[in-house]
This record gives sequence, structure tokens and C-alpha cells, in this order.
Amino acid sequence: MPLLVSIATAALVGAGVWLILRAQTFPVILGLMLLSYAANLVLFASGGLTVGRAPILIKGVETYPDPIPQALVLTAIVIGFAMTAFVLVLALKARFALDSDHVDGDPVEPQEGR
Amino acid sequence: MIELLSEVLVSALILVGAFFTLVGSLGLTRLRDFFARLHGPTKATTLGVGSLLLASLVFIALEGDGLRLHKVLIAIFLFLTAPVSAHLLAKAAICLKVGTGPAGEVPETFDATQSLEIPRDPVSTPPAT
Amino acid sequence: MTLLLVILIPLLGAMLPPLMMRWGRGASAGSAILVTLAALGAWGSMVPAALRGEGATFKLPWIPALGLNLSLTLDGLALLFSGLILGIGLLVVLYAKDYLYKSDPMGRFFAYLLLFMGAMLGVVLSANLLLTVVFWELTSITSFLLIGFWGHRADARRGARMALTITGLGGLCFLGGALLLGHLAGTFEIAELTSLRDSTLSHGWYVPALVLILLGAFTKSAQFPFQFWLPQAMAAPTPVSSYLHSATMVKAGVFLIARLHPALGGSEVWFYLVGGVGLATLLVGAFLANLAYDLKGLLAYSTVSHLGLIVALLGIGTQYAVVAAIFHILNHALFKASLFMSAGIVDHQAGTRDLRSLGGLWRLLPFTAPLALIAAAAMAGLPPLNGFLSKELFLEQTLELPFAAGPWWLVPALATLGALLSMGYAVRFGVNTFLGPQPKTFPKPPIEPPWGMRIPVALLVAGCVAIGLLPDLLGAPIVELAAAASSYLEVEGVHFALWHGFTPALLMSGIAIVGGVGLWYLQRWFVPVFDQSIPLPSGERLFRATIAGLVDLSRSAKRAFHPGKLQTAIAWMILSVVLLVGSALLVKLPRWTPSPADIDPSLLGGVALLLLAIGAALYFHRRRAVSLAILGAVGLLLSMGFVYLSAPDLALTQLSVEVSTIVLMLLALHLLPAQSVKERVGLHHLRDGVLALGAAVVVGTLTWLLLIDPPTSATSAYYLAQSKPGGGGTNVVNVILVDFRGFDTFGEVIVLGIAALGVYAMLFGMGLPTRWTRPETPDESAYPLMLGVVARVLLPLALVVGIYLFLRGHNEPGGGFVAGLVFSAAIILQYLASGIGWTQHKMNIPFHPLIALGIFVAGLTGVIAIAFGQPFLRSWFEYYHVPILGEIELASAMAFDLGVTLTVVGGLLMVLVNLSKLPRSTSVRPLTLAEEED
Repeated sequence: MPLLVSIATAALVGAGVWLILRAQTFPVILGLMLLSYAANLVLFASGGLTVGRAPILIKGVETYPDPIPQALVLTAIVIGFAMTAFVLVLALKARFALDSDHVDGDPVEPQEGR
Repeated sequence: MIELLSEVLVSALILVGAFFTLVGSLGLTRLRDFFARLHGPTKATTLGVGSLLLASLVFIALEGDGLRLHKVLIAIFLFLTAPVSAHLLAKAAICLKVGTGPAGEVPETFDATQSLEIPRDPVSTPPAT
Repeated sequence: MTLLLVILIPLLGAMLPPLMMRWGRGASAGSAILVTLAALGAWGSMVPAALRGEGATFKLPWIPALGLNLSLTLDGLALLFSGLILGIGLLVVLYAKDYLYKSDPMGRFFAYLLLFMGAMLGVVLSANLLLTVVFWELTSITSFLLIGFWGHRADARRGARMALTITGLGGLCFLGGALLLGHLAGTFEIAELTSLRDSTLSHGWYVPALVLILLGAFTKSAQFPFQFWLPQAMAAPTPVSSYLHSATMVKAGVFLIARLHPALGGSEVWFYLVGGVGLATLLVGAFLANLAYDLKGLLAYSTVSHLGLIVALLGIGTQYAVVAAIFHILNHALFKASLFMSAGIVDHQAGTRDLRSLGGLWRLLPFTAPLALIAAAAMAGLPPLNGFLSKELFLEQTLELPFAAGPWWLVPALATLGALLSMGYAVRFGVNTFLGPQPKTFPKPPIEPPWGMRIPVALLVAGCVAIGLLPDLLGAPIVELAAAASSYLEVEGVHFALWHGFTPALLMSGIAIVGGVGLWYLQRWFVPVFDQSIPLPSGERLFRATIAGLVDLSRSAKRAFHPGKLQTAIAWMILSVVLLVGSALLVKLPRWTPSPADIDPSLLGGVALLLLAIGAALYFHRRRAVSLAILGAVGLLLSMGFVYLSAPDLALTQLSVEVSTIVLMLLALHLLPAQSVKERVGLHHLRDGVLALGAAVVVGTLTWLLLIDPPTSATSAYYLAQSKPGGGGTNVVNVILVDFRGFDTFGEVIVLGIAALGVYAMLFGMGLPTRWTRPETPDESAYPLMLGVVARVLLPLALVVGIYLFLRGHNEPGGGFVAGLVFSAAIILQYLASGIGWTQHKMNIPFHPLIALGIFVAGLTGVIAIAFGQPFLRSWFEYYHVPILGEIELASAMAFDLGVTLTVVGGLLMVLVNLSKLPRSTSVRPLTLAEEED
């Protein structure tokens, strides 16, 4: 199980890093989203992996999964949405002001386009 | 006796569901053009998933856990949303002037407003379904 | 307490002048005067006791663990300095009121000046070395602001930067020295340090600590070789020069030496270091003053020279040397402040302060000229003025050194040379400006300035004369008191007299005076020589070269790491993270022995799907809509993973956030190109690939290490145990969010609100319509009837689901965040189905107030807890029995959760609805397909 989750985070991080290194805004935002998924997953995993036993107290059950990472990740997901929205509007604003979708505001040059 | 009957019933429902899902999936890949292909996931698959849900409902009810209405709710929502999304997809295709012949390729990107003449509200792009 | 007030009045009162600007410049200046008078009054109430030797003290622990106390004292030394700061401060405020030009922002000027006054009072009243450092830095910053007050002038900016750099670096040295001293002595209280002098002097760290502290003092007091910043600082308005750069701030270094003299002085190192630097500064400053053409530059170098004299006296360190030093501090403050003010009058009224274009002002400024000449005479050390007294004392002390310094005549000869040079520049100042031939024209026709500028000069000059004539009455008591506080020896029976017979000092004075006049006579020959051909050794040049080198270094570093390309910058960032974390992992790795990994089949399937989806997202990433759909699938897979791995709350949240995210991205995609331009294949692809792979490996390994040996936390166990009895809920995650870590959640909710407002603010500049008018019946062709009807049917259902999730959240999966997300999804669906016009007409939800209300409700819950004597956000709960519904739990945490929900709904809707209001035309010319396709 640890191996599988590690592979999942590795894949998310790899794809995220590749995408944030692209030259245009939209892939960068997608990359940021993937990275935040990965971050959430790592944070979640730091509490260990448990199957089929939620941190909901039930009489007679003694062991539960670690609730703290879950609480942290829950707010992180919501904040992640706020961050995505902010970056996205930033990208829109850049395109509105600079007439370019490039991360540096450069005109999309022919040598890059062809 | 009851057990055998329930097992037969549940199995039959599962088989029916699986059959329709398969037919729907085949239709999605094999049919001629966009509008024909739309039938696959909407009609056939709705039926298929409906049967599977019913199977689950019967199974749990007869296993002795009592009648659980979660599944019925899922089915209701499914029946409510599937036609609506199919309708939206079809409308979008009309707006995009997707051809009906085999050559009428569906553009990969979905940008309904680009070729649209009617004045529109910006909120015209439906959510991904 | 009054002592603290003396510091706080100017610091807080600094807010008044800018506020009073609303009622005009007079009100602003008036408030500054009142604040100064108030501080002076508070100070005055403590003077009688202080003069009796029973100075007030005040002590309040600030950070006791660091030895930092808010301890203040008003001993003799502090009394003298605080009197100078407040008294001259009042005169400077008066003077500045008329000096400042109409275009100068007066409120800001007085605010800075009062802040400086407070900081400087802090330095001199502090009885704790660390506290001194704090105020010391504050004087550096306020001095920077004041020097750079005319920020439109390049020389002002340069001078301000130079002063800040030099004094700031010196401040760092001082901090280091103070920490060393505190470490070796075990205390930062100056009184205790004084009593530990013997053990300090024999300690191995004594010399490093002393050198560091002296570096701080020397830079502040512009001692050689750091003297060059002071003339550069003359770009400041003249009231600033007169206040900071003659009377007070540059004396902070001298003050520090005097303050620590009883704790650190008396050693051979002290004598040679302090005395040597002081003597060198005395000569260098006086020499350069003779070459200056700028009136204020001349005074600046002369200030350097006089500070050197004081430092040299403190270096000698005998009883009478200290007395002479203290006496000269007082005298110098009086005559130099008045000289600066006179120079300011000349500059202000004649429009120039270049000695070559001045002269004969005696006739044009009949009031100012005699005053300036008297002050210059005091500076030169002519009897019967105060400068003469302290200079005589100095010359006398050079004959009685405690340690050997070359042949017996060397130091006295150098001191006489210094006095001679100072006579020379004093004559140069007085004669070349006020006497001599009058030039044909001045840039401005000089007339006498307003009385507000003349009276302070007159008062200061009167002080010079009075102390010169009645030194025993006016000078001796306070000097004795201050000298006693700055010496480790007993100081008693201080007497000053103008005439004390034919002494060697009188002879030296005579040589200096005659020689000085001679020097002035020769200046027309030697000054141009130095002017043109002899490059003077200058720390300034070294300083400039160093700064230029540093700037070049950072430029080239920036060029390498951030050449204006985001991709390069990110690549460096990721590379360094990969290398740092990777190397740390390499060190850690051998400690773990890999255990056989158990493969869970369901998880295997999920991860396989996830990899597939990620691969597809990468493959299709240029087709934006497609990659977005795949990204949605990744999110769904993750939420399924959360369900499987026992985190139902996370799954619910992830699912509902995913819906909103996809809607958001689609809305944005509407205004962005549908496709990404294909990048040219190149080396950077290889770079990106290697980085992505590296990051993946590092994070994967990190996760794996984390998972095979998960950390156990006592906090988790505590939360699990206390969730029901302490927080009243069985859903531990929710209880953590709303109760245990409620403050965190409160902060996060505020962040959400801020982000939403930020989005709104950014959109507003992009042509967001303020009013949205639309036909009430939606256009059937744009808004299909089917979707509209279904959406309207679903709304109440979805709201019920949301309320259900909200209510059960404390005990079952759900809660405020999820409920808020469900509510907003339901409402967004209405917008999508029926259009903004129709929906806003039917349900007009104001988003801004909703966010505010949410934060307010959440905050109020916390405040109510305080009202009940509990900590902020402590929750309360009770069970009630309601006839039909059964047992009902009422918890204050629910109100908090409600606030969370409201903010989430408001924030989400604010972002999504406003983004969708953005007209299509906002998006600039979309790239045509021909341009986008390769």
C-alpha cells in the first residue's frame, strides 16, 4: 500500500512540475492543481493509511486513523480552490493587459509557435 | 427457497445491467456520427446502471438489512440528470454545426460560443459532464 | 512611569502633525510644538530629583528570557543628553516651521522628527544594553528618512542610503558586541555591567566585545575612517542637519562610549583604540573642513573633528578628561546647532551655500551675522565663550596621559595642530560668508528670515555666551553629575574658570589662534592645490566601489537565476528543492530497511487509473478542454481514494470542490485560447523532463519513507480521546476544525474571503459590469428549458442535502465546509441553467456582505467565549430533549461552522458569478486557429 500511494504522489508531482514549466498560463495552472493534489496526498499520507475505519467515534472501537492530517487537508482543499481561482484570474488579467497568454507576457513568438 | 429466488433475481438484474452497459459502450464507439453515438451513453447506459442499482437494492433488502432508499435516490438523480446532459450535448453539437455524415468530425475542443451567432450570456458553457 | 512617558509622548505624538495637516501647516507645526512641550514638561517634572542625584528609574520585564528589559534611568548623563535632545528639539521644530518650503510635506517632516526624538530619548534613557540597541536602530531608520526627506534629489537619496548602510552595519556590530558583553557578564543591565567591570576587563572576550561595540559607536559618530557619511548626509534639510548631525544623533556614539566607559574603560586597549581614533578624527575632520567650499560641508567636517575631540578625551579617561568631554558635548551642541541654523538661513535666504559665491552678508543679514560670528568664535575656542573653556581643558589633558604614547610632546603637539586647524576653518566660515567683499549677485536677494528662524539661533548663541561667562554656575553642576555617571572614578568638585593663570594650555591655545588666522590667510594658495591635484584618501571611494561591486554581483546572480523568465526561475527553484531534499534523503535512506510492500488490489486499480489519467492529461495538455476534463477525473479518483482510505470528510470536500473548480476553469477557458501553442522542441524540454523526474522521485521516496514508518502523535490520541467529552462530537475531523484548531480554521476562512475579494478586485479592472440587466424570461435558445426546470427542481433538494450535511457534521461526515460547497454548487447550477439576469432577479444574494457576515459570525462565536471567561473560540455544548426529534445537541461550534458555511458560499459565488459576468469582449483578440495550430 505505501508503495502504491508513493507512486501516485510521484506521478502527480512529476506531471505537475512538467506542466508548471510550460510557457503558457493555462498549463501552469493545471500543473499547480496537480501539485496541490500531490501536496494534499502527502499530507494525508503522513497520518498513515487505514482502510475501512473513519475517524468517527463508535462505541467499542479503540483504534482510529489519525484525524489531524485529515483536518489539515480538508481546509487545504478549500484554500486550494481559492488559490486556483486567484491564479486563474491573474492569468486572465495578464492576457487582458498584455494581449498574451505567455507566462512572461511575451508575444507568442513564431519561433516558439512553429 | 427465498434465498435461491433472490439470488436468481439479483443475478438476472446484474446480467441485464451489464448487457445494457456493454451495448451502450459498443454504441459509443461503433455508431456512425455524434448524434447517433450520443444514444449509447445516455439511453442504454442509464438502463444498465438502473438495473445494477436495482440489483443492489434487492440484494441488501433480502439480506436482511431492510429497505435502503439510498439506491433509489441515486437512481432518481441519474434519471433526472442523464437526459438533461444528453440534451445539452446535442444542443451544443447543433451550435457547433457538427455534421451528421461520417466525415462530420467532432472538434476535440469545446468552444460553443466561437461559432455562435445568437447573442448569449457568457454563462453558456455547460459543466463537463 | 513618567520616564516611559517622556519616550512615548514623541513616539505616539508623531501621528499628530500629519493628521493636523488637514487644518493647515500652522496646525501641524503647532501640534509638533505641543508634543515637544509635553515631553519637555514630563521631563522637567523629574529634573529636580535628578539634580539631587536621585534620578528616576523604571523597569518592566519585556523579554526576560533574553535579558531584555524595558528599564530606564535618568542619571546625570541621561539628564544632560535628554535635556539637549528636548531643548534643541523644541528650537529645531520652531526653526523648521519657517524653514520648510511651501511644497514640502510638513506633516511628514514633523512626524519623522518626533519619531527620531522619541528614539533618541530611548537611547539615552535606556538602562539596558539590548534596549539601547533597539532604540539605536530606530534612530538609524528615522535618520535615513530625514536625510532622504527631499527624495526627489539624487544626492539626498544617495546620502540617506550611505548613512543607513554605514550606521546600520555599525548597529549590527554594536548588537554583536552587546550580545558578547551580555554573554560574558551574564547581564544586559548597564548598572550591573558597571559593577562587574573588573571581571569583564580580565575576560578573554573583552577585546572582541569592546571592538564591536566601538565599531557601532564610531560609525554612528562618524569617526575616522567612517567620517565620510556625515558630509553626504548634509543633503538633508538644515533643521535635520542641525538637530541630528550636530546636536544629537551623531552624539549617540559618543554617548555610548561615555555610557560604557565605567563598564569597559580604563584598559590599555581602550586608551589606544578610543584615544587614537578620536585624535585621528580630530585632525582629519579639521583638515578637510579647511578645504570645504560647501558651508554645510564645512560644518559637517568640523562636527566630525569635534566629535573626535570628545572621543579622544573619553579615550584618555581620567577624571578631568571625562569632565572635559562632557562639558564639550554640551558646548558643541549649543554652538554647532546655532551654526547649522545660521548656515541654513544663509542657504534659505541667499539660495546658495557655496563659499565661493558668498561674502559680505554682514550688511544684508544684520541680525544673523553677528550671532553666527559669535557661534563661530565659540567653535574656534576664543575667550570668553564656552568653546574656549572646554578646548583649554582638552589641551591640558593631553599633557597628562595615563599611558605612554610616543614622545611626551607628540600628543600635545597634535592636539595643538587640531586646535589650529579648527581656528582656521572657523575663520574661513565666518569671514568668507559674512565679511569680505560682497559678490555682485546672489541667486536670491538675501533678507532676514522670519523670527521663527532667528530666535532659535539667538537663544543658542545666548547659551554659548552665558556658559562662557558663568561656567561655574551654569555648566559645572550638570557636568559634574554627568561625568560622575560616565566614569569609574570619583568625580567631585568640578570648577570651571575663564582664567587660570599662565599655563601650558594657554600657550597652546595662543599658538592655535595665531596659527589658525595664518592658515586662513594662506588658504587661497593651498586650497586650490588640494582641490585639483592631490586625491585625498577617502573611505567614501572605497564605500562606493564596494557598493558597486555588490550591485554588480547581485545583478549577475539575478541574470543567472531570474533572467525575467518565469520558467528559468521556477526551474532553479525546483532544482534546488530536489537537490536539497534529495541529498537529505540520501543521508536518511540507509536507516530504513525496506519492508515487503503489500499490494492492495482495489488501490492498485485506482492508482493504475490515476496514472492513466495523468498520462492522458500530459499527452493532451495543449488541448485545454480535454486536459481539463481529465483533470476532473483525477480529482474524482482522488476523492474515491479518500473514501477508501477512511477519510469520508475529505472525499466529500474534494468532490464538491472539484465541481466548482471545473466550472471555474471552464469559465476562464472561455476567455483564454482554446489551445496552447506548441513549443519548439529544445534543450529546455530535456531540462524540464529531468526536473519533473527528479521531483517525482524525491517526493515519491519521501512519501514512501513517511508511510512505512508513520509518525505517531500524542496530539492525535488526545484529540481522539477528548473529541466526545471535550468537543461534544464524534466526527473527530470536524471537532478539530471547529473546536480544537478553530483558530486555524478561522484564519483559513478569512484567507478564503480575502482571495475572493482579490479576485473581485482584479476582475473589476477588466470591465466587470456593475449592473446586470437582462430580460426576466431566459432566452430559450441559450438556456434550454429542460436544464432550467431540472435545476429549479433540484435546488430545494440540494439545499436540504446541504442542511443535512451541515447538521450532522459534528458527529458524522459533513460539516460547514462541505455544506457551503453543496449550497454554492446548487446555486451555481441556477446561474448556469437560467442565466445571470434571471437568477439575480430571483435571488439577489449580496456576496460581499455574505463573506463579511460569515467571518463576523465565526469571530463572534469566539468573542462570546471570551465574554464567558473562556479562551477565544472555546466551544460549549449541551444536550436537550425535544419531544418529537429526541435528543438534540446544541453546540456553539455549530454557530462557528455556520460562519464557515456562509463565508464559503459567499466566496465561491463571488468568484464564479463575477467571473461569468465578464463580457466576452474583455478577452483580447482571440488567437485565430491558424495562429494557434502549428
